[in-house]
Amino acid sequence: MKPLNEQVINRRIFFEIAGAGIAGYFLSPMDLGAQIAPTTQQPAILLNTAKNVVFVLLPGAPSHTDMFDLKVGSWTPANFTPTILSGADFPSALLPTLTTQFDRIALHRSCQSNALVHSLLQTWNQIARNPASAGAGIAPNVGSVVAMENDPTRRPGQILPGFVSLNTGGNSIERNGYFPARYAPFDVTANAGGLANLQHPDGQASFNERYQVLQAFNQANPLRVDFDQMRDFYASAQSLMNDPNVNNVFRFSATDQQRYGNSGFGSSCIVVRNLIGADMGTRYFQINLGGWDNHSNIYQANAGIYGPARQLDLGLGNLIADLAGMPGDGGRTRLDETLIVVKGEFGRTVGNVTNQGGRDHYAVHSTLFAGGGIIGGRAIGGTTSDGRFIDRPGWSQDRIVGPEDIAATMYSALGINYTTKRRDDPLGRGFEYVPPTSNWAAYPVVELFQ
Amino acid sequence: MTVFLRQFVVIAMILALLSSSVQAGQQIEAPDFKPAPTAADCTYLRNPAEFETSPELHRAQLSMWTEQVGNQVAYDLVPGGIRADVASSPMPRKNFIDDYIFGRMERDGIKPAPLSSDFEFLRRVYFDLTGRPPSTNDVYNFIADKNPNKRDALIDRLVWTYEFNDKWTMFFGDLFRNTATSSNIARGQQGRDAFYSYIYQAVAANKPYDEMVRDLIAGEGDSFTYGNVNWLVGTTVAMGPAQDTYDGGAVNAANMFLGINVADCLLCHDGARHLDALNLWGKSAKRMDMEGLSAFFARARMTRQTVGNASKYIVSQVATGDYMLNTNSGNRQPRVPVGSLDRVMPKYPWNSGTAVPANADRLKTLAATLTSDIQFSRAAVNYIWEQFMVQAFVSPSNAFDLARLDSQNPPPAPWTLQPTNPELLNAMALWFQQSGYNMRLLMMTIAKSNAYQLSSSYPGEWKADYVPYYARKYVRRLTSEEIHDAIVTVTGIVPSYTMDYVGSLWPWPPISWAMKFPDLSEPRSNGTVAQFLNTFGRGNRDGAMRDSSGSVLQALKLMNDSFVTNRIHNNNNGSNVQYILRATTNQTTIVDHLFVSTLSRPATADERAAGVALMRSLGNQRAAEDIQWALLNKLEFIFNY
Repeated sequence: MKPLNEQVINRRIFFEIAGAGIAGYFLSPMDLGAQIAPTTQQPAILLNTAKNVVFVLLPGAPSHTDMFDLKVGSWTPANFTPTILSGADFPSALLPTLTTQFDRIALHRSCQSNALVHSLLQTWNQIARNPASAGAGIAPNVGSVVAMENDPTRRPGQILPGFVSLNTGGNSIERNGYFPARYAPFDVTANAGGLANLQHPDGQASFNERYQVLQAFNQANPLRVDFDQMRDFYASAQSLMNDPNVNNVFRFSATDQQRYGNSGFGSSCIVVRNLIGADMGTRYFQINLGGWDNHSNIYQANAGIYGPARQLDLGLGNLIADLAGMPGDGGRTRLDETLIVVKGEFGRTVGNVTNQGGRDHYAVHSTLFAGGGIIGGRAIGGTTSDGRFIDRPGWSQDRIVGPEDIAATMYSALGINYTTKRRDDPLGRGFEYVPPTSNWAAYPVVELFQ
Repeated sequence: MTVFLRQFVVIAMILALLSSSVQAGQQIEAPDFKPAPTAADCTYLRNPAEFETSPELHRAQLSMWTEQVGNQVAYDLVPGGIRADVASSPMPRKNFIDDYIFGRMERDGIKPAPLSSDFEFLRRVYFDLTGRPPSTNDVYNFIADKNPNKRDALIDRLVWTYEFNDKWTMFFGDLFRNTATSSNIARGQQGRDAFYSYIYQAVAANKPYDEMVRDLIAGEGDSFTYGNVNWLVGTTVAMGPAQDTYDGGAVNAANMFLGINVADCLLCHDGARHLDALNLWGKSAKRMDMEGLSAFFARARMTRQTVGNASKYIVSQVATGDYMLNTNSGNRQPRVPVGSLDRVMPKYPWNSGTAVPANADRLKTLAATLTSDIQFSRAAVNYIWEQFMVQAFVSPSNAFDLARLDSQNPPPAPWTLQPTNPELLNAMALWFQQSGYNMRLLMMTIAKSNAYQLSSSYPGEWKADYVPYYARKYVRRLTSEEIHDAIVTVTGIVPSYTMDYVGSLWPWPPISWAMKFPDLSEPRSNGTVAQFLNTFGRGNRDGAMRDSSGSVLQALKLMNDSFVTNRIHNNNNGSNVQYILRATTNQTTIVDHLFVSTLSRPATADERAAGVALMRSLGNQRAAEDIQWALLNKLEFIFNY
């Protein structure tokens, strides 16, 4: 794996992948002479089953005992239609599309968070470490690490950014930390008409002429620091414009829009499907879907948990189904090549609802996996009958699964060594892809794939 | 620098305390929580960047931006050398700010950048004070002015413009989070408008800042008429007991007015075992201390009333009511009696102050106490300093650690003093207090200092370590509104956005300048322009803060959005291009005009030559349009250096 500085200054690679430049800070040069070495403490397990990861973050934290770890009690609304699917309780009427896809889905029920603060845990899950820990201030989103790791293997024509984010709306999404701006999340607002502003209103010829003029002035300014840096920022925009495939890949039909639920989240899933199918350089997708923070009235008709659950069901369910029908490389499907991970930042209180008809925050929660080589149609790990405590960790490490383990699982599936420690961070303290927690080293949940 | 972070190594994972490996069948219980904890949520910390920004990364990035953009701009190639002399040492000191800034540099052997040229200074101070670039005439007039005090005179004039009012109304709108709808409460457009109007009038009249804040804390009346009560309305916390809302008042007051964001954490739990590595003051603070602040809000009532399709809030104080320790659901950890104490009485956490008399108006008392706290002045100075100097004394500006501010009383190792220049911060805080919290005077004093007027270009070898010394002027990207308004000013095509809506309190005339929007969802009447503004990261004053990160999407907008491309056309009546093409056919003049009007500086010789060559090969009209487009897309256009 190349040191970052080499990637930055290698002009041949740069021009090949000109589309990847996203100058968040107008190019932050990495420290030269960086040494990168995997730690030798624990040999990493590299499963290498997937090319892409789709990470669906559910900010607000869904109630685990109403969704992925259904516990039926007197409080459970009849319209959930709890059903046993391959031995796992599932609210089949709350999530009907996902029910049809159940044999492609694995529910992981022994996740637990270390705190109950929304923003803290949302960040934790995206940067794979405690945000209050050393070095967290510079840590990039897992997606940025994936984008950077995959940069050297880009082929000509793969001009889209390695990390794309969607439906983030007003939520903050963790960005590229100290990594160069080209690995920042490229935020897309899903729109049936495609990506905005890909065409110059006065025509392509006029654009080309004007772009030349801009370059002429940049060259004429004798005090410029580095012409390449200017070019990086605009060159990527220009290369996106030049490629006719780009706009097509961001478009979708009204039929698809309806089928996927006619929501921001649903439409984002369509774009993800298209980008995966087009294989134009994006390897990590983060889609946010909020609205789960039901402190009150969680079972209110057409509101409460029903609203976001419906969006999740139609968007995610159709994404899984469509990817399963798209051929990938070497006889696999696109779903085989794409690990899908769906989780909130923690769970919600169990049993009867509170005096406000809702559920408050709770550490135990579940994660949904699909694709990327996982074996579907089952639940791994488990909680007590009320959903309160984890009593079956369900994996080799025999403990709760934290955000670091989820990250290790994603990296491992992609063939990225999650024990890597880089030495090119601006603080000079070293940057680990997945740092150990105070109690254990992170580990991928290999059991999902067996 | 690394000393500062060593503490983080020490904590290990304070927040990650889980039992180790488990036998099959054994229940796993997180030791921090009792079985089935019912609530914990710091609902206001929506942006973790408020906590987790690394000062070191921030400095590295600030340094790097400034190096690239500051060094890029050709400001000293005007024939005749308009640029100010390279700084002789020592740098002349114009006011007490310079004493502290240059004194510290001399003490530590750091050389300052030279003073900015007139071009650099003019454009910078226009944006910083008024949010707009200078017009072409402004540029020529300022350069030609022979008055040795012209910079001070310009500052004196700019602080009394309408544009100044707009810019600082927007700033306070951001700080006080004025929104029509937010994730916790809907003020309605009418409430937002009333709040906007209050802020505008306060700014226009140079209302002392402490008076403004007292109006916000202790205001009463209906939210559609009395704009200031909308601050309190915004502290409402939904989906929980009343105590959650009282806590909301405390958090917003501490955060916005005192710059103390750990108040939010402390309203769920004591500082111990949570803040040990984050905040030296906070780690020994107790939840009950902060609830003493919340208790001031326990007699405020916001009664909702429907008005047509909207809701307004009548804010009033009632005679009874306390902060009771009797909750077990909602957004925060359960509140339970402590010994025989079943409630918390109002007590300002930062004075060993006397308790509040039983019949005192709680919010008026709080307002008076808080606005006479020196930390209130420090926080205000820090906000304004950051707007001008880009690098705040304490960054993020709501992350003050009260135990690390006094250089006479430094904190024990490994903690370090927090502000970049603790002596100057404290001196300015005292001075601001004594000035009667005069906002314009504060800004004028900063802008008139040579520290502010240094060039952003640094002739020597620059290190990120120099950042806390303010040895050069730091570069910032213009805000969304400044970019929009700069494009409009430069191109001369003024838009018109409908602002009126059914039920508005007054007939809203259409407005043309983004800096005049009352909140960041506007213009609701023009989604394309709203999207344009969002792309440059203006946030929403709710879950998303302002963000200066660049993106390919921004490049695409500046290159291809009709907002820009329509404005460069010769056949768009009133456009800058049309104006100059009608004024002259002289190609050199056309090129010069485009540079001065767009970038507030003349072209360099090479730029001029390139421009004239273009005019010759493409013809005046096509070349002028192309050049106008190119200059709007030049990196320096969206930066303030």
